[in-house]
Amino acid sequence: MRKQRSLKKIPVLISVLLLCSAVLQIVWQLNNLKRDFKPQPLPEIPSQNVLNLYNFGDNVVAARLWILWLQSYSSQNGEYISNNNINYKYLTQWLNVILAQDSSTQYPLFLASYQYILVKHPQKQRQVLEFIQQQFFIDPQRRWRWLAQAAVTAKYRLQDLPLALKYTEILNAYAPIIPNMPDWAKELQIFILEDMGELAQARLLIGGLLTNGLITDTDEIVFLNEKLQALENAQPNR
Amino acid sequence: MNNLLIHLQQSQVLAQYTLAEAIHSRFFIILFSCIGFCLGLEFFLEQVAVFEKEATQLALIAGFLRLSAVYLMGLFVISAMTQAFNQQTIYLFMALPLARSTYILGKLLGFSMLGLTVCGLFGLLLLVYIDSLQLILWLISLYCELLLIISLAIFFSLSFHNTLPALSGLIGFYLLARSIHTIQLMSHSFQNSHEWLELALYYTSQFVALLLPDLSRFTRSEWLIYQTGHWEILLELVLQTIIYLLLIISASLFDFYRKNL
Repeated sequence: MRKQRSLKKIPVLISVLLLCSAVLQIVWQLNNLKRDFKPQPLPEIPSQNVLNLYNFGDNVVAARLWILWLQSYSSQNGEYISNNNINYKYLTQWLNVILAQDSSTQYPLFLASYQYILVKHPQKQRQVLEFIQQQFFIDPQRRWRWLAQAAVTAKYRLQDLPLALKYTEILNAYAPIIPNMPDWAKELQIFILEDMGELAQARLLIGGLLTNGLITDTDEIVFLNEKLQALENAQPNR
Repeated sequence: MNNLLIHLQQSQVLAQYTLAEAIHSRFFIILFSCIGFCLGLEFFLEQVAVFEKEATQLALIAGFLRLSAVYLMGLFVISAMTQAFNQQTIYLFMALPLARSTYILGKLLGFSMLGLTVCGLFGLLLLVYIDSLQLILWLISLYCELLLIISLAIFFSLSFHNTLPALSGLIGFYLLARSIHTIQLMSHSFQNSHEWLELALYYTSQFVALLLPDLSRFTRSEWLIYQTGHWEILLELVLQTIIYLLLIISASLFDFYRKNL
């Protein structure tokens, strides 16, 4: 015995009704897509406690969902939302709270350093850099690379050499407790000082790096000695 | 000794019936659909995530699998148990020379074997992303969580005989057990309050926390992503599972023996 009756047993009216309602639904939805789209502003952050309740005890999964949700704010309904239209005060609060939920992820710092920094608004750029600096102090061992990136951004994007110098100074101050920090990050300060015309300080810094054993790679030591010589030649009276 | 052997044989038969019921109710089609959905989710996240792709995929897929396992097992146990009341097959079993405890233990055994199959299949899927001790810890913890869900679903089904209240009770219990730690932390601010309502909230949350297993400590995604799990944590979770299983099974038996069937 067949499990189902033949299609011929279905009244024509019902088949027509099914077909028409399916077409109507598709037309309705197509019409909805054409409506004027207004991007939603980034909402103010709820309290940490309320967010923790949403997480249902699994902060890592929730942090990943929150960061993808935050990332999606830059592209709504197929349209790209300029970073200029994003409220950076709320944005940095969201990034902060996501990192508080999953302190091991680097994703929020990546977005801050490579996506949200790309805004033609110096004040907003500084808010992002300030956020990165604060996060560095929370976990220098894992977040040093983002502060190094912030120094480069301050130098080239903001053209703010004192700010770049401040970040590289912080990096070098923490270098002894960050075993995996590569030599190039420790040497950033030299180039900033050189750009600022502080050649004497740059020479002092190279001397310090060479004598206190922070630079161990032989190629880097050769490079620093050459740099020191070049700086000596640039300022022969010293 | 002979009696015990008979009880065990009867439980085994009931467990086999329960597994057969799972196959006939298309449980495995839904289970494989979940796995198919995970593959789609993996592809979607591959396109969406711009950094830490693998960690994001692993976290969200593991989170989804955990919820799916709990949902599938909880709903299946409740529907199977309430069906036994609605179709009156339970009266057929009660008419047989079968102890009520054997009936419950047989059912529990069958559902537990099904839970083990679910964990095994989900584990195979996660092997694509991670191949380590952490996955074993995560799977054992997931199985412990499922055992708790199965026993609670049996308890609620026996109490209510109806899908809607039993499922509502189970979902409520699960969400509360996963959030109770946060609620407890939040209520600590009321500890030294002079408002009676705030003090009542504090003591209520502390009391509820005593009655619930802290499910936020089970099946942590961070074990898979940051390799933070270790056997000591798992041992605590296994002990908690055993204690709570004993509590729920004895409560279910207590309720079942009182019923006039």
